[in-house]
Amino acid sequence: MNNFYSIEHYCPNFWLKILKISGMSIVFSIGIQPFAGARVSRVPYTCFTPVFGMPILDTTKTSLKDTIQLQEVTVSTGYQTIPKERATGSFVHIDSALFNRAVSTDVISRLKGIATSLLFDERAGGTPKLSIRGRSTIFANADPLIVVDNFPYEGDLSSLNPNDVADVSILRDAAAASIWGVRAGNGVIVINTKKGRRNQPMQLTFNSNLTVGAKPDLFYQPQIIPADLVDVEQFLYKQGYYNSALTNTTSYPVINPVAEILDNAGLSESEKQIQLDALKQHDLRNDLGKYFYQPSFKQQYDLSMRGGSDKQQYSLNAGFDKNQSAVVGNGYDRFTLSAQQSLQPIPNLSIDNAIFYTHSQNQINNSLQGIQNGEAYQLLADDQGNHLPVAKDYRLSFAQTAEEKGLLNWLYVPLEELNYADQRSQIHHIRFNNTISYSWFKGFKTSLLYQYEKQFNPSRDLYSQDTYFTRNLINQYSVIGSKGVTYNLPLGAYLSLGHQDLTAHSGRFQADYRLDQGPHSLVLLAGMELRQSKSNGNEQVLYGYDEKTGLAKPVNQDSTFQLYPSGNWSNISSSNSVTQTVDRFRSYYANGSYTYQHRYTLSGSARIDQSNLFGVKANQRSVPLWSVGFKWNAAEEAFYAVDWLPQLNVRATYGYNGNIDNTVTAFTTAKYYTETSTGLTYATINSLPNANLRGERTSQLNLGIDFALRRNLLSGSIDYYKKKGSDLLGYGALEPTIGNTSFYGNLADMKGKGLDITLTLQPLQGEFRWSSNLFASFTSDEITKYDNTPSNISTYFADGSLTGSSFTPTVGKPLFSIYSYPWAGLDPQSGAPRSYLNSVPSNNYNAISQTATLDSLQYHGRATPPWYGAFRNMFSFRGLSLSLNISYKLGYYFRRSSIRYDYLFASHDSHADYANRWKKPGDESITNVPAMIYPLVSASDQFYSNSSILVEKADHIRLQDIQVSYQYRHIQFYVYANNLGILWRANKHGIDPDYATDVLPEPFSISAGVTAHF
Amino acid sequence: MKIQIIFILAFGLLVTSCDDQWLEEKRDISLTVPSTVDDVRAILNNSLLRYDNVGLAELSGGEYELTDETYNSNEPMERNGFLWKKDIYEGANPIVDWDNTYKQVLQCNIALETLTDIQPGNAEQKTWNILYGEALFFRAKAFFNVAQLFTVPYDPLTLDQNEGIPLRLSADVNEKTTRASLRATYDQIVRDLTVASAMLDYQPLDLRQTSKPAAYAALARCYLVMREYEKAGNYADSSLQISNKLIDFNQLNPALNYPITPYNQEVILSTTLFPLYWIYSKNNAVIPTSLYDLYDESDLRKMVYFFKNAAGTMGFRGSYLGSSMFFQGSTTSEMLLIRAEYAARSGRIQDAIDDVNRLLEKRYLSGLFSPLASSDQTEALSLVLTERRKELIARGLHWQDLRRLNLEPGHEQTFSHTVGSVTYTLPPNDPRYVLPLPAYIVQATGISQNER
Repeated sequence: MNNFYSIEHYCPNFWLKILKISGMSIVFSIGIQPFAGARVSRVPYTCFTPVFGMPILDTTKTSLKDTIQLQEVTVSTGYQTIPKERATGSFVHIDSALFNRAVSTDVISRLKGIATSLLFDERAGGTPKLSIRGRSTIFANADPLIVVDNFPYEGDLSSLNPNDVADVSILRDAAAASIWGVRAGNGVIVINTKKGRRNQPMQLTFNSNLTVGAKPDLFYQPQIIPADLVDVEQFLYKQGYYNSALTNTTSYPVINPVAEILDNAGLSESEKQIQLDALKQHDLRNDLGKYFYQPSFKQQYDLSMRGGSDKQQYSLNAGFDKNQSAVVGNGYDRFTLSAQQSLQPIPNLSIDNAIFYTHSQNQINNSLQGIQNGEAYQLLADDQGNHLPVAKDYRLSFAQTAEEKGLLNWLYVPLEELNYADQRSQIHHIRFNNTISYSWFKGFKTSLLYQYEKQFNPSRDLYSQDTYFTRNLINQYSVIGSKGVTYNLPLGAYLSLGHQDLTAHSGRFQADYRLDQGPHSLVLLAGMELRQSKSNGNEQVLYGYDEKTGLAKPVNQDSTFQLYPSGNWSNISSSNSVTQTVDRFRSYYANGSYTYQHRYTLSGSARIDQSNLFGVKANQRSVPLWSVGFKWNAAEEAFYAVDWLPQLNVRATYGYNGNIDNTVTAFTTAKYYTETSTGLTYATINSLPNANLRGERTSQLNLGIDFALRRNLLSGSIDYYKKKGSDLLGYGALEPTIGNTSFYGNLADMKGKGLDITLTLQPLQGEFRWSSNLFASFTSDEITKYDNTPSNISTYFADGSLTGSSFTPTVGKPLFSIYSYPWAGLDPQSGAPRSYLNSVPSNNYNAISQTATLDSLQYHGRATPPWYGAFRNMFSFRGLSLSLNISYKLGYYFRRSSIRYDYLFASHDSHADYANRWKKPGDESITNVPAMIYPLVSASDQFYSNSSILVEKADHIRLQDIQVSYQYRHIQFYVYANNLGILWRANKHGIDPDYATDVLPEPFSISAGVTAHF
Repeated sequence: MKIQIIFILAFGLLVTSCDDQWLEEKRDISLTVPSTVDDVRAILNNSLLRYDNVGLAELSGGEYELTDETYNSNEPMERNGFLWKKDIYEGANPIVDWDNTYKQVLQCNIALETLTDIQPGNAEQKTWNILYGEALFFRAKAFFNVAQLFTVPYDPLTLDQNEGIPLRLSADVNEKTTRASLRATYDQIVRDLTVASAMLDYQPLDLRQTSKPAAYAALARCYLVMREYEKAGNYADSSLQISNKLIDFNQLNPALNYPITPYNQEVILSTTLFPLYWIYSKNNAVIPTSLYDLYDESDLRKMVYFFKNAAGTMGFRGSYLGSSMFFQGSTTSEMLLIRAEYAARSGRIQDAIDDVNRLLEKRYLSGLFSPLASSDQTEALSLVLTERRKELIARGLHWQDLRRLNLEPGHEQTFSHTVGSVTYTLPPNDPRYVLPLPAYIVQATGISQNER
């Protein structure tokens, strides 16, 4: 991507050379006869070099308007709706049909694999991290702004019902997004809900689908096999590793079953062996799969009614979702209701009101967490199906004697816990949206918009006295005396009640002016906006709670008690807390565009944002951001003579988007807390002074071209962009004697560039239709400034794209890079992993890490994919259609996990690579897995996990989903299969790079549904 | 027309309703720019200040033995520290003993600077004084702790040749870190503690916060390591004038895991030794028989301080925190022993013996204590020092005593640590009595490394 030529005009021949990209082998140049409207016999400079297999054409005919008219597509920025043909900015538009291709409970996951530039990162598990055109910030908020019906959506995104969504626009460049100012830095996703249309008869739509998902593959992550673990623990026992724990009669720490068997003096050697052999036969994951997992099952129902007369339009929608999770006891259900109406009571006035209500409930069964990382050979039930206890917090032999001492049963029985879990959180979300527009005279309109958003999020964690959690707590606070047990904590349940609420007000006053006169078309808008978002939270804990009466018992939170058995002193935790944050924004904005003869469009926007960024001087509080754009609709020119290319336009934009981090401040700040054990109020120094704090700014240049061949055989767009981020927030190192090891300030710059290509090929357009959609994104970034040289080389190894923190970007390299220690094989004598020290293989890890510099480390490449996209094919015949989507991510690396002996010894948590370890001299030629060396060699595990031998190429191609649908009159039947698996991957270890660390891959699921219109 | 008026009104309302005050709203209610005495109170309440980060002193100077298994199962830094290796850290980062102590210094400096900006009213003056004294006290204590680890023992003869510690006296991030001389280091500590003792109150609000007797106790401890015994003894006496209660060990219940209750009447200031290396955990660190045998059978400390763990060896459980954490604060018993040591050294033998008896009376089984007696100065001093060793174990103080007494002819001793059957020794005045500075600090600041 080195050779880039910006638009160049050459007079008098007016030819335009747009792109030349080496490595992508795209050369694209167009020559045009300069005399508008002139009939010419020849256009001398037209050449169209191969683009994706297109033949060279030499057009010698005069331009004729192509008869094909594309249906008008509009894109929404949240401030205005722009016909796509007049938009200078770079947008992605996803219509209702494409959006509804996938089946899901939520809105966001439907965008996966169907939108250019949008990358889903699901490696960390949980909610996917989205990015548009790569990343524009380092440590500040990196989420794209989500706008729903004109305003940023502050609530939980899971409250949105996908059946409410009409279309989605993604704003990529400065001209598209800068209207959102300091919140636009990461791109903007604008979601519009369905509305009633004028003079439309009432239409009822019913949609329902069922989704069944497989159990997750628990054996996907390669854990140490039970037989190996038994051997290791046996070895450690013989080395005396457990001696201090075995002799500990103060806190009775957990002893693993292997050590318990070996330490049991009542067993003969052969009996011990039989018991150990029995353990080797068992794998905990089988039990987990049997008792804790199930196939997931999701149901979705939605009914909507919309229509409208000349003066009133309406849309009503009700939806219900009920999901049974793959984890036993977990579930989610959601009920949504929406009502929208538009009124035009008098000619120039329009009133729009909408109300959305969502109630959802999430059930979380935390009992899995307690046993998830148990010993690999742990038994949860015996052959008769009796539920077995597992040592937790204390040694089993100690826990078993609790009841004799008069305490509550102290055994942890995972399968029993399954029945007691009762944790629920709910979301009530209300959104109330109003717009009043009044047209003063032709073309001039003012609007008042107001949105009120309220979200309640009550949560209730009930731990009955049957749960281990509560029994353990009560026992710990018990005193065993001669007259029996005194309970300092009342018997009964532990109830934790939480409440979060969010209230957001958004108000906007906007004036729009539009003038269409002859060849001139002018659109202007200006406005001001106020927004406040306030979050409150509180948490409360009740002890001795009785579910039948709703009564709790008081506890003595002022005294300290001696805990049993450790003897440590502790208060009864109150955990009561109140939190509150307020974000306020005040913005002024203006936007205008001028179009001449549908050919030339010039646009510009400017915005000033002010916020309650704490402790910043008033003059530094305003962040001005702007953009300009130009579009040339070449095919509209009278002289345009390229017959086979009836649609062609080029775009160029430049401008600034911003990002702010409201958590940083310019002054020394302290944060208040309450010490849980004593109730004392204390403060922690939160930040040191930073008088120069500023918002982050990202400039972006975008050059694009949109084109369509005749009959839309091939259509698409190509966008090239260049980004420059300045004043990005980062962590500077402070020397620890100062009293703080780092500070957070505007110390980084970054640049980026990329290419977004969207192509639609429609080779068959008859009764049998075939259309192919390819979208390909390339994005690259590079840190150009980062004022911090870490004292410790280890911060280069953290994969910042996963952790989001505790990593140090390096100048001249991508933000998220993978570095490693060069691998020098295993030591032939000891099997210890080695790197190079002064070019000689060495296992002196401390010397290696101390002398390592950035140059001595091996740089592999990016940790996030620079190349990504999808290829979707749809075939249809009459009412039947089939579409399948293949997605790919290329050009990046990841660090795979392997054995860590420190983890293995301390927490039995380890990797199947143990079986392949170096055992005797000579093994170094067949394995790269280090030997087990006891006692632990300092830093050896740390070194191995950061060595180059564990870095793999992450490139992969997956078959994302398949959809089959059949339309019969007003009824559509559909089947949707998701997570179909990987088609190709670069690594040879069977690892799915999207789920490389501790996360189980999303299991295969299949849905069937029906949509009917009446 | 009505609608137009509504529009104009609404627009006017929107524009005028938001003056700049609207954007002054604090984002997070729990966040504050420290500016009031209450803010300073909260900063000084931070538990960061409740620790004495001298874990390395107890690692190097604690009287323990380890089994081979315990030794092998420990982290390299603990193994190295226990055997006074030349390089202890092996590149470890952070070294809590350094980093956390200077975090305390920063907290104190922010507190001091905030207080300097406050003009206290009459009603506030007393609180202001106490807080100022507290901030000075905790900063001085932090400096004192660093000095015990990273500088040579205080010797008046070589004060100006030897380097002290970085004395950071402001919160300014841009101030460069340099090492002050050893003289300047102790001058600063003594000066701050003296001013603090004048400003603090007689009674602390909480034994984890500080008070006048605690400042006297810190001065006594500081003058003791400076071997200015007269001042040490006098400050110990000043502290005892305010707070002199002792616990009668006959009242304790040895059946409890930790018989001594925290915040008891002997405690003048309660702080915790940190980090608590795994080596000290009571099942790991074996109390040598030579130490255990120093206690008479009728000495209750033998039962209260120690317990027999399953391996048959003795472990320590006598922390004044009533937990597995080690106590590093000040007690009246320590003050009695400092006063007694000064008395013995100045020839007031009977005063010295009286103070020791006053303590031992509360430590022995009722009725079985026969008061000590001596008429020989050397014998009396040695008696006081032995009682000091027996009373103040697991408080990080043995390291201080070794460093100081090695400078006194007749009191030098070769210190040893045993692992399994092998005994390692540390000769008197060995350079390894000074710990190396963390390498990353030397690298970042350019200050000179200690010889070791």
